[in-house]
Amino acid sequence: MKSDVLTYGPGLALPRSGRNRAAVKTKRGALARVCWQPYVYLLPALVLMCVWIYYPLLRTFYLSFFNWNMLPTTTPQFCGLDNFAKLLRTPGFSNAVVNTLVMMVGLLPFSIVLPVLVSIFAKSITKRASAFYRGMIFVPMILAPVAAAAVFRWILHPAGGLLNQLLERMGVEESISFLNDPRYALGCIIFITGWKMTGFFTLLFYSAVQNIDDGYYQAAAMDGAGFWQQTFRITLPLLSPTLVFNTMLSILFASSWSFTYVDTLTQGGPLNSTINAYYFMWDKGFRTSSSGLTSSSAVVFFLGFGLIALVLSHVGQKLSYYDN
Amino acid sequence: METQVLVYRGPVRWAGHALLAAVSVLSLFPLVWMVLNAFKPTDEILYFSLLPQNVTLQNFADALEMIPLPTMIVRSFASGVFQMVGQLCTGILAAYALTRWDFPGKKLFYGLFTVTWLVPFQATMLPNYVNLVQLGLRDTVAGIVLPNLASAFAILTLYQSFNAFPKTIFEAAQVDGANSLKTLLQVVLPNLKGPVASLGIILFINCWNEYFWPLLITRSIDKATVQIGLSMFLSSEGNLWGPLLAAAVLASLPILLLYMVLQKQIIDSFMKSGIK
Repeated sequence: MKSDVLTYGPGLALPRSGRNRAAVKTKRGALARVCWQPYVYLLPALVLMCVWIYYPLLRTFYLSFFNWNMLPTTTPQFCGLDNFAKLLRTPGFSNAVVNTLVMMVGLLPFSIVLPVLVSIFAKSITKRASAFYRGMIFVPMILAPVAAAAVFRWILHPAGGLLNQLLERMGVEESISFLNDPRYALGCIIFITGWKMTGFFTLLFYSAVQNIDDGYYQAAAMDGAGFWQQTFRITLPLLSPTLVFNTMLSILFASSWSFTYVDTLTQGGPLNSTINAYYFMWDKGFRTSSSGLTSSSAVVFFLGFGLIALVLSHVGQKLSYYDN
Repeated sequence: METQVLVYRGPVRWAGHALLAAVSVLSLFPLVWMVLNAFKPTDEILYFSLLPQNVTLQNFADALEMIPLPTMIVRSFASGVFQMVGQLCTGILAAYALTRWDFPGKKLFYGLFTVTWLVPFQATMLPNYVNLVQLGLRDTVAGIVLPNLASAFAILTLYQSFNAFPKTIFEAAQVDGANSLKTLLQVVLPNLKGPVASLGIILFINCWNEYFWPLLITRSIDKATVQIGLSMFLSSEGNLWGPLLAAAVLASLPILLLYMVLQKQIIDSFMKSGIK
C-alpha cells in the first residue's frame, strides 16, 4: 500500500504519524474548498455543451413550431403544428422512415452476427494469430469515409467496375449500375456501412470475450465440454450484456453512420430509395432552406430514436446475464 | 504463467483461421485495390489486373493539380490538432472533477455529459450553423472546431482512466500542501500519459475523418478540409478514376501511417474506451 503511493510523483509521501494532526486540519479546510472546486473544473465542458448542444437542441424544438427562411434579418412566424403536418406530406419522408428501419436491421449481420462469430472463433486460435487478424480487420474503421466511398463507387461502377467485370466473367451480360438502380442501391449503402463498421464491433466483442475468466473454460474442459458446448454455455451467456449494448449501438447509429455514403454516392436516390432520417434532415435544411421542415423532422426523429433507445434498454435489461 | 489457457485442435481451429483470414481479406481488399490502382495508368485501371504493369505517378500529379490537396491537408491537420487538444483539456478537467470529489449534482452532471452523446448532430446543426454564420466563421478552422471542443466521448473515456487512479494519492498530495490543480498537473497526468495519448490519437482520427459538419461550414474549395475536397472531387470529377483514387490515397495516408506505427495503442484504447 505504502510503496504503491510512494511510486507516484516526486515529493509526495504518505502522512507520517507526526503530521497526523496537521493532516486533520487541512482536511477540514479542504472540505470547505471542496464545495466550489469540482464545479470550476466542470465549467469549461459544461459551458461548451450548453452553448453547442443543449441550447441548439431546445432552439430546434422551438423552431419546429415556426416558419422561418433562416435569414437572420427575418423573424420566425409561429405556425403551430403546420410544420409537422407538412412533414407528413413531404415526398421522401415516409421513404426516409422506412429506409432508416431497413438500415437498422440490415446492419445487424455486419455489426453483430459476423463480429460475434469472429470473436468466438478467435478464441480457438493462438492470441498472436488473432491479434494479427485483428489488426487487419480494424483497418476499415480508421479509413476516411469519403475515401471508402470513392473506392466503392468505382468497384460498383457499371462501366469497368470490378464487380461488373467479375459478373461478366461469370456470364452476366448486362452490366448493372448498382448505385443507380433502386433495387440494389440501398443494399449497397448498407454493405458499405457494414464493411466500415465490422472491425469496430469485432473489437468490442473480442475484448468482451477475452475478458471472460479463463477458469470457466478450464473447468468446462475438465468436464469434457468441447468448443461448441463452451461457446453456448459460457461465451454467449456471458457475452449477453455486450450483445445487448452493441445491438442498441448499431440500431441507434445505423443511419448516422451511413450518411456519408448516402451523401457522396446516391444523394438519397434513385427515387428516394436510399434516403434516411439523417439525409432527410440534411437535405430539407440545406437544400431547401426550410428551417421548419428540418426542425420538425429533427424533433420527430429525435423522439423516435429516444423511444427506440428506451424500449431497447428495457428489453436489454431483461436479456442480459451478468457474471457475479 | 501461460497466456493461452486452452488450445483447440482440429476442425475448429482451421475454421477459426479460415473465418478470420476471410474477414481480414475482405476488410483490406478495397484499401489494397485503391492503393494499387492509384499507381496504374488509366487504360490499365479499366482493365482487370491486380498489380500495376507500368507503375506511374501521373494520377498523383493530376490529383494535386485538380484540387489544392496540400492546403487541405494542412487545414485538416490544424483542425484535428485544435479539436483534439480542446477535447482533451475539457475532458481532463471534467473527468478530474467527477472522480476526485463527491459533490451535490455529480450524478446530474455525469448524466448531462452522457446524454449529449445521444443527441443527433442533425438536431443541433441548424441553430449552430446560423450562429457561426453570424459570427462570420464560415470557411474557417475555428468554425469547424468551435462547436466540438467538448465531447462526451472524451469525458467518459477519461472518466474511466481517472477512476482507476488510487484515491489515496489525492489525500497524500493534499497533505503535502499541493492544491488541486497542482495535483492534477504534477501527480495525476504524468501517471496517465498512456491513456491520454491514445485517446488523443483517436480524437485526432475522428476529426480528420469528420465529414458532416465541415461540409456545412465550407463554401469554397480553397477552404475545404481533405474529406470535403475529396467529396467535391467525387461529385465533379467522378469518373477520372486514377486521380480520384490517388487523391483518396493521399487523404487517408496520414492516418494509415499513424495506424501502422501506433497500431497497438490505437487498438488498445479503442478496446478500453469502446464507444464511437
